[in-house]
Amino acid sequence: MAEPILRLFNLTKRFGALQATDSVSLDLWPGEIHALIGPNGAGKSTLVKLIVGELRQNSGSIEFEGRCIDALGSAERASRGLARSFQVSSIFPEFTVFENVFLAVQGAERKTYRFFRRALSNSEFSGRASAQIDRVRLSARSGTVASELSHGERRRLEVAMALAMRPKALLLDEPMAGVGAEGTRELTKLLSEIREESPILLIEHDMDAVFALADRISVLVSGRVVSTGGVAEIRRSDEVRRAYLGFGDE
Amino acid sequence: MSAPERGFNFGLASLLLAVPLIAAYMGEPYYLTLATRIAILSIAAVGLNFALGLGGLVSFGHAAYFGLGGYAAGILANHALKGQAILDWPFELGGTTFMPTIWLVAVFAAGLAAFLIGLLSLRTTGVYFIMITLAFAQMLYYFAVSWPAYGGEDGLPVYVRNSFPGLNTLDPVQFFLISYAVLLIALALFSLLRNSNFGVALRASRQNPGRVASLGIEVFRLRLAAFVLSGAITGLAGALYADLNRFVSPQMLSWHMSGEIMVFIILGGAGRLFGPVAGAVLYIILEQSLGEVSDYWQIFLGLLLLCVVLYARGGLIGAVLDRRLG
Amino acid sequence: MSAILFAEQILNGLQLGVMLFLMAAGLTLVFGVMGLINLAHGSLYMIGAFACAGVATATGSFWLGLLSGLAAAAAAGAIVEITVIRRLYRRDHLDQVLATFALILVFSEGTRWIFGSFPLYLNPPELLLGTVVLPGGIEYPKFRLAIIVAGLAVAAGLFWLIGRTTLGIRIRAGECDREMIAALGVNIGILYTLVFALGAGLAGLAGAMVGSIQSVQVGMGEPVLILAFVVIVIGGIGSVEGAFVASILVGLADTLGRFLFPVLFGAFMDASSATSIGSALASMLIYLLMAVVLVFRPRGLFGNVGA
Repeated sequence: MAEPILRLFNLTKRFGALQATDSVSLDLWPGEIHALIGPNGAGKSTLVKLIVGELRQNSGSIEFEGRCIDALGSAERASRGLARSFQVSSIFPEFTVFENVFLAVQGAERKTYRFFRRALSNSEFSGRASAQIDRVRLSARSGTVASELSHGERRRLEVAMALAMRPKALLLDEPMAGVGAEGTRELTKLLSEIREESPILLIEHDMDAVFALADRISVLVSGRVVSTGGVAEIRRSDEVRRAYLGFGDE
Repeated sequence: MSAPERGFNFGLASLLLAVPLIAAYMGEPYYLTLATRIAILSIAAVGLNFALGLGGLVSFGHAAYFGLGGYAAGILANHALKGQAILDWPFELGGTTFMPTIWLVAVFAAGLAAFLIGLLSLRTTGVYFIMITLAFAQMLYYFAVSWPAYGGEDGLPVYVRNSFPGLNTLDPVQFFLISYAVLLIALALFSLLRNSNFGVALRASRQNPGRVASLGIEVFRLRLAAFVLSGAITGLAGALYADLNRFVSPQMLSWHMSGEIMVFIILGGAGRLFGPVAGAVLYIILEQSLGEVSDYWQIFLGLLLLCVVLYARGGLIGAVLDRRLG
Repeated sequence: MSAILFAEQILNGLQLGVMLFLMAAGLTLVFGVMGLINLAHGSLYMIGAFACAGVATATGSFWLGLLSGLAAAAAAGAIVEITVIRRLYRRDHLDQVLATFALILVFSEGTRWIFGSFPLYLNPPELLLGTVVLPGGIEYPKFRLAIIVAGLAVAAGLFWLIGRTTLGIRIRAGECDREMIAALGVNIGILYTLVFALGAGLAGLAGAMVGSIQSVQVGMGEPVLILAFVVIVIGGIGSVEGAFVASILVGLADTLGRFLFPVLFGAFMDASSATSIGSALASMLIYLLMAVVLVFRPRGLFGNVGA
């Protein structure tokens, strides 16, 4: 395939005088993990919100599968295959793990307007939900109400929900945040398996995970992409060191 | 639903059926009327429970749909009785006293109103939504008060009881059974819907609307569908209520009515299948028993409601079941 | 239709507008600062009216009555805030609606218990009886004019209080960030009680003044409460400026609608149906106005995000 799945052209977003996103151009190709790194306040979260349609850009444009999706709302973008996980776990606290993932399958299949059949009796959807729960190793917790999950389990549930949508592109907003060393290892393994199913735009602070997973890395500083390149290239780049890696490490 | 809750529901449904029938058999028909009222108000509250309990949409204007259903019944019957057409043009439309037709019109009118009001008010959330639904219901109330054609402030008497094929609706027992059957159907519908794909998405939207959208489900459409359904069922209850009282007045559209319908749900337990029924039973029993003690019984009702809100969240069913479990 | 009659209607609309502002200001402040929706605000209005009527009848002094109306409503507000309302700040809106709905039942029936079901009538003070001739030959009741002036003066005072005083700064800080003002060392409990009592007092003042125009009866607060809701939805919840603009807008629209619609329909139908259709439509006018505002500005004219 010679075409990127997701493409951003000169995306710009202002909040009053603040330039949160400044003419960002990025693309995501099939089979790759493209990591987006940058210090806090660099505009990563704003960029995610622009891509999924929670915010509208002031200028620039977003293409998904070769088509402009600027005019679409967030639900429509999601049902076309643009799935995401949230930086702060966002789940349905009163639902069980299974119900959470089931709803993701149902949403992706656009089967919400069925009124009379018992939803969970749909064996195809249930099977898909169970498979993803298995994959993030939450099977033992399948019947547990989500509000009772630990932090790490919630992160995994987020990933399962995103996967259950059979996305064409996956936006993961800091999936490793606070899951601990063991959790990070597990998630890293999982994500590298997923890459073939669905390319990932990965926003992550854990540099080891990023360097282990990413095919390409873009560095975002003050709303601008200062550099894009392969892992080795980014590691070497002085500009990146100055702008980002220098923080905290030295 | 837990087994104890199922047991509670079954018991409540049986009592609501058995007590008035036994009372009627023993020559106390008054309880039959009371039970009919409970059944009809329960239907109205089951309607609201779709929006409020499942969707978390705090509509403070459901009297609008209740009243519209009532006026649909009243106006149709009134025209049929006088032999006047409602419309001469563009087509001739007469009144009717045939219950199924009246129900259909009531459901459609209330559903349409809920669609239009929902279209505007669902653009907002939280406290705006509460105030706007209340305001639109008041708009209809004032319209009914100032529109003289159907009685205005004085209301509209319905001199007949509308008919149902094969039944004598004038017989209180049979009319009660009709109302009770409609209640059971409404409850069955609620139960089906709650566990359907639609119900799952709707319940999810109450917990975390933003997340529902990120799964590809349009929240506005979801809520609008629930709101229309909710209004339509409350409208059906309104039509039955008009038949019960043989009278329709703007009182059915007033915000006290909206408040009462909401109170039923909260007294019983929001989102629970039989919450509205338990609440309506409790409310009407309180109204009757406190009414005998004092003319100012609403003070005690108010204080009691205040205590329930402040200290007994989860309503009657919640309180009963928790005690059993604890 | 004469120009004088029209001018009179505009003044009536203005009078309704300033009354609504006194109601809406308290509602919108309480929502803005404490995040509370208070249905019982109409009851405080009623308490103001009854206290005024009761004291004025007993003492023969309207002014003493007016003062009592204000004080009684503010006191009732403070008591309710301390006993009930402060338990509701952290609850969801549904609980707030139900609890304050319960308070209405208590207040209304309590008032009926004390004063009976018959409406009371209250005369304006001697000083304000009769009419004045305004420029342009408009003859207008002195008392209504006094209400407009008093209402505008209170509005100005309120804007001064919020914009220029320490209390106002604390109130505005409370709107933005509860933790911050707690960090400033302000006793939040007392501040909330004060704000609630202030809103209650304004509602009571409105009730006391209106009591001389309308009959004083149980349930009189409810229609006004609904209008005040419409006002703050149009103005933007939490915004006192918005409440002021929207009050005047709603006051004028309602009054002029009731006056003009029957005349308008009279142009092409017979008088009696013009009156009935006109007045029925006029009763819906402000709600349509609200709907139009919502379509273009779902958070009201002066609303900010996040409410």
